[in-house]
Amino acid sequence: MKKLSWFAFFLLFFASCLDDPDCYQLHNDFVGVTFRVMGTGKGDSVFVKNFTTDKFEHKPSFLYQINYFEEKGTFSFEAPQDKTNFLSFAYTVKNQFISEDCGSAFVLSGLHILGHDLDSARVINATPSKGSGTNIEIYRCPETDTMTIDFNQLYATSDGVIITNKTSRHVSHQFESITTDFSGIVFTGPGTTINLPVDTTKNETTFTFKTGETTNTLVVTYNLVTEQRYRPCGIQTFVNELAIKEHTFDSVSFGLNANDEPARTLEDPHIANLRVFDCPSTNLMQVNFISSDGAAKSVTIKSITADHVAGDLLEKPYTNTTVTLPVDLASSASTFYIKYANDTVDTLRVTYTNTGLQLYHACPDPVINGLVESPDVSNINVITNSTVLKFPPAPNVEITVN
Amino acid sequence: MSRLRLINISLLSLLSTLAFSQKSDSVRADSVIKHSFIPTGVRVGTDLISLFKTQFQDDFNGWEVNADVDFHRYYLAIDYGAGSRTFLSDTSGNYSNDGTYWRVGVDVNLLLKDPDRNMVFFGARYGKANFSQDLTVLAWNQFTNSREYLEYHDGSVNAHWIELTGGLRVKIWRAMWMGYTARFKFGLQSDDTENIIPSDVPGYGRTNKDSYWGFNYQIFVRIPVRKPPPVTYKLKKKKKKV
Repeated sequence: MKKLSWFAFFLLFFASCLDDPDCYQLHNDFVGVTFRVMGTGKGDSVFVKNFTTDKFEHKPSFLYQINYFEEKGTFSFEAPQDKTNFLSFAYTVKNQFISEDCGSAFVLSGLHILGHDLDSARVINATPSKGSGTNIEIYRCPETDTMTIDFNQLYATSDGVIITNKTSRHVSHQFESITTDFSGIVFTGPGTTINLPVDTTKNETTFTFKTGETTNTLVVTYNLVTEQRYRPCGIQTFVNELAIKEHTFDSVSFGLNANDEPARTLEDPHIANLRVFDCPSTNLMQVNFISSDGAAKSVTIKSITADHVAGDLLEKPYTNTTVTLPVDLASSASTFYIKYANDTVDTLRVTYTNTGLQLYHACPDPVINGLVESPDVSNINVITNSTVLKFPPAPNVEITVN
Repeated sequence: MSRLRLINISLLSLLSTLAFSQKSDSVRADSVIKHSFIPTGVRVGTDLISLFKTQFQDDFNGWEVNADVDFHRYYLAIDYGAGSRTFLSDTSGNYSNDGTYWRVGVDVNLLLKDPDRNMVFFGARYGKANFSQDLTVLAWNQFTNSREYLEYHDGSVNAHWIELTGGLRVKIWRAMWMGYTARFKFGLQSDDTENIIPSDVPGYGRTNKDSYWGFNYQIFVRIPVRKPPPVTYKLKKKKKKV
């Protein structure tokens, strides 16, 4: 038994000596570059051309393959609008024979920066990798005058007595323009989270948001601190103690910073300083069109008018299986006149109960329930168990059309 | 390679058998050897594997001389050798080295009561090598779309390392001894060379791992310098019958 143990022990000795080296990715010729913002040191997503793929990419870090037949190189960071920065570096290349099958490996080390025109850069790992990790960190000066706003839609469910499922979701708005009182238009187009400049020459900025026919304003005040925090950035003006002076949105509140405190300081990378909330509409009644067999039926509607609304509710003829109509919150009854393509008209009159229940403190519109059709018309029915108006709208009324 | 492995394993089994059969023949449980730290002899030998590889392996050329001196159960061990290796790669270049090395250390014999001084031992060594190396590289440069040929030479490279050892020494016939030494080598440090990172260090072996196993089959001649202390036996007390 003792002899057998010795035999097995030395057999294992030999087995351990006989494995072949791995030929995969022999050279450590990759340099990882990570972009960060000075101060917080947080990662920064930059939009530059990846010269490996020759495409502009929005990424917080890049991995570049460097030439092991040279001992220096230059990264050229090309941003849109022909803005280009460079970073020159050098390294040591040695060779090591790995095996007859694999050949030689180029072993790179001693990576160091020769020069750059960036705000700041440093080597954190002088040994290039075989395809992962960070070797060089590039820091940029923080933008100190940028306030971030995100837009949200509030939701809640109610039967007219209790309120449940209070939630909010980011929502995109199509902005015709966002202007400031010191620099004109600063943003156009769709946006969910928008970065806006504040005036660093005074302690207050007024923003005007135009979306369709709606115009909202927001006035913020703040404190300015001018000092040199980061040597490469020189003297900068920092904004803190942000406050909401006035606004015309449904609701505006502060976003939270990493400490779960109101984000009253403008930070970079940007976090939402302000959150704008849209109240849920409580007066939207959904009407479905069905055929006599109960199947959904698409209809073309020329116009929809209502006693409580001036003009046509439709801007142009509309073809669909469903339409959403706003009931009059100031009354307990609403009447709509739906004119079809063949000029026939259905008159939809509903009565309902204004419960006085508000879904949110900041949202004054009450919950509507007890929806009934009055008077009873043979081809119009209020759907059983759907007498509460909801947001987003749910089917409340069915109109049978031929 | 597989034939060499078979021979290795066969020799191992043979030596193990010899060692343990001798022990069982000659050692009595009640034997005692008088402690003495004065050396009784010098054992000088050579590594058979190196000689065998030099003869039959094209890419290796080398020899190794081993010697030890006993100080009771402790043995001062000294090795000196030379080696050169050539690695040829058809597609991407060649590597070769040539140099000498030495090791010095202590072995501890676990068999204290063996009158023939057979050894089962463990120990440690410090090893140092000096060698030259050459490397040629044939590689594709993807940045210039061309094939590059590079040639490097290092004239004098120093390397040192540590070994943990274990093995056997068995008296075969008169002054003839055989044995094997297994070496666990680690902590290799070499000079900061300009262009080539050593792929192989004489006396150490391949450098692509943090640790490396080595093995020697050795044949020795023991030159006695004095008579070893005698083996005595304890007298057993006879139990009195009541």
